[in-house]
Amino acid sequence: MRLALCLALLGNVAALAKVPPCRLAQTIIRAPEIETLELLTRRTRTDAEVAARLHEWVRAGRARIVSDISALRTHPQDSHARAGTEYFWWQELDQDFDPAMEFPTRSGPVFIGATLTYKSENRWTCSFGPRAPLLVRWPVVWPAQKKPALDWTEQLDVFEEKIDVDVATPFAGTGLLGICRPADRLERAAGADRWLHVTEVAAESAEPDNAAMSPPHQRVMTMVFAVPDGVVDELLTTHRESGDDALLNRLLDDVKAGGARLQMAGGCRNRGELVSARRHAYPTEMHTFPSAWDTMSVGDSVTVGDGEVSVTTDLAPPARAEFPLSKSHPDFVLWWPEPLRAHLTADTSLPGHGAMLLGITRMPDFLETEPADCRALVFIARSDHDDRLIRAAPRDASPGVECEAQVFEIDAADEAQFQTEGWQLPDDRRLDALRKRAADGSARQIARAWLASTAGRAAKTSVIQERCHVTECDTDFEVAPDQYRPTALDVLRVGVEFSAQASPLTDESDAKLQRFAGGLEIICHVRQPRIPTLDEQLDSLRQNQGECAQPLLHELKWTTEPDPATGRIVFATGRPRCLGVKRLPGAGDAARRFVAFVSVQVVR
Amino acid sequence: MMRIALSCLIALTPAWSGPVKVSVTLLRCAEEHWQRVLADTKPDAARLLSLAGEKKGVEAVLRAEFEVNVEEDKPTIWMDGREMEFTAGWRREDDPLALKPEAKDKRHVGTVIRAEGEFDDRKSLMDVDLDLRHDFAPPTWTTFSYPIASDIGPRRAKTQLKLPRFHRIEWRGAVSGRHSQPVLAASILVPAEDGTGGKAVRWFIIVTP
Repeated sequence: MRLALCLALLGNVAALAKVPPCRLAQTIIRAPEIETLELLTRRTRTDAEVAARLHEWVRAGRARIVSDISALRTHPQDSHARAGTEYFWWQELDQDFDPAMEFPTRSGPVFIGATLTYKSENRWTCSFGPRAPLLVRWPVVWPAQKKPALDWTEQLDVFEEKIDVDVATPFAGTGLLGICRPADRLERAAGADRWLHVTEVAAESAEPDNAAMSPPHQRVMTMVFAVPDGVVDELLTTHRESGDDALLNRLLDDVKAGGARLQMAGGCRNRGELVSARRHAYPTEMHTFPSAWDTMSVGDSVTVGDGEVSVTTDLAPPARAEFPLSKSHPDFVLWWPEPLRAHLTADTSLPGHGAMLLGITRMPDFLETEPADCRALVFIARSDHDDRLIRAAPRDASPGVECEAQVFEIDAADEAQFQTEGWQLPDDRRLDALRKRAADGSARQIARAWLASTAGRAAKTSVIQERCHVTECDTDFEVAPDQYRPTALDVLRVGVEFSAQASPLTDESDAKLQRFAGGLEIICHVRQPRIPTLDEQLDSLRQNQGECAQPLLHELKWTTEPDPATGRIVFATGRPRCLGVKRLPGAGDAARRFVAFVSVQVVR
Repeated sequence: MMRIALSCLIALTPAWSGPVKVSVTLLRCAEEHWQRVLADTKPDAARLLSLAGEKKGVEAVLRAEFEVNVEEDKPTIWMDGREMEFTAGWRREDDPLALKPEAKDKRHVGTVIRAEGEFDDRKSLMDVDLDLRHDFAPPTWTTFSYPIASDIGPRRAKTQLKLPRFHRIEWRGAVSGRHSQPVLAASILVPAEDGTGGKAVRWFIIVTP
């Protein structure tokens, strides 16, 4: 946080200075993924050192320049240059239901290419389209009449890598603006070459005598590794409060040896945002006969600023739900995108140089991903800041907290062992016993999440698939008895979510107990929701005066309850706490129970 | 000696009042040649112009010369190429399967330069603001399928509406009006993948106020 403040002050000082003419250059280099990550993280290197090595790789044919733009900046106004293709595509559609026709009434431009924009408020924006847009066909269905109609319309999905960061000029030399996976990474075949796009920026004074300020490098690289469940305990043992360089090195070695998979890598300068994604278009009104569209980002995004790191990564290309709408016309379907994505937000003090474990989230078994045996996602950041900034930054005195949640499925007969909740109980022994049973198969761990954050600041991690269901629809059973037309949809979030905000209280008299302000919450699902079938939907609409059938959500939720006497949550120092036993709502699953444990560790 | 004296004269020439002549030159170079032969040296306007004059791997594509107005808010527009009109909107008539072009849009295909001077209180030129757009390849087309038969279903007959694609480089910025040497205003790489099927080309925009 304070490091960020220091950076901001340096930026403002530069902004106040008179802006002499300078030349801004922006180069995007496509470089091999793992080698580039090792270059960025195995040891401390300045931006200039990394850029020099990348250019050596370009000369040797191991990397390639995919975009290169430079532009003169003469006075403190926006500078802008771009190269690419301006696509015209339709922006408004009109409809005719009877013959199932959608036709464009208005078109407009969409730019695909490379852009350099430097704004007068010291904001550098780079955007790059690594490939042409993808043409996606969407069904156009009008089933609420006797002679139903089916057609298709076409929509453009655009791929874009966009980096937007604070960079104060004048400066001299080279800096890295951002690093990302190509925006079309998820569309490529498994086994295809894996690359990172590194955006290098440089400025040189157009007046030789001008004493320009060299840019303080301030690089934050985030990575998500998918590892087997069994490795998580080893990783947490390797984790050190003093720094996680050894842990990161081990993960990189595991990826090279095939024992782990790099799920995501992306980073940018401090106080920056990066998005590398497919902008997937989907209908938002009249979903079967689209009249309005929006886009969702499917790919990676990273935000770094003021101590906060936020990472989101899609684990697969946008999955598509298909709702059958007619019993006599199987072609009549409604499509809806159902993204599967992992997310982490942590507000923490990153080291000046080095790696820090931010979180671990285990994917629930019912979420399908490849490879199936790497279900734990490890979020880790590596920061490299200029020594001048590290020296100038005041030391942050706030302690850190590390929170963990684990959820197990047990036999109903064992419920009594876990019925009592409370910090007074020796829950570490109960948890150890349960973990042993999970190892021998007599119990099952269904969720696990671990988060690091600064005391009192919110942190969150999740792996969620969005599932949709129909909430409103039109019917005309006299005319068309076996079909319906959805008019409103809602999204169910299924997977696992863990959020924590815990601030240790300093007036503690009992060294064995630690009271906290704040709370922890774990929400997890046991399996995919039961979405009503076409028959169930039609039955419900007939029998319940047009009410849609409801989905069945297998959701479990635990929240730390405060101690009645103090209003604070209480943990025995360094020991887990049982949050009690739950069963799934609704009938069925009578033989199964679910028990959650959480722990909070203060890191000084 | 003459060359040195001339350079000094240019450097010491005070900013002047009245119409100001500006020239903009567009050069291009195959990226492969640039990386192999020229990339190790710092790009410099005078050198690039010299290489173009000697036809040493750099080609002069366009030279625009125009005057910048002294009056405020009166930009100079310089254009080369042609106006292209295309259908940007449609409407249906009585026959639901007949789609008639309705709205037209226009784009200038070629080069457009918008220039505006910034003057101080004594009407002396300080900077020239420039906005340049250049089509580096002829427009191509994207097609959108539209039904032309009432029989619905997967095999429904369709026609294709054409929507244009413009392949462009753009630069917006300013050059100092206090010097009259050529200035490299922008260097822009157009990658080979960029829709036109050719090889990667590097473009240079050189401005001489």
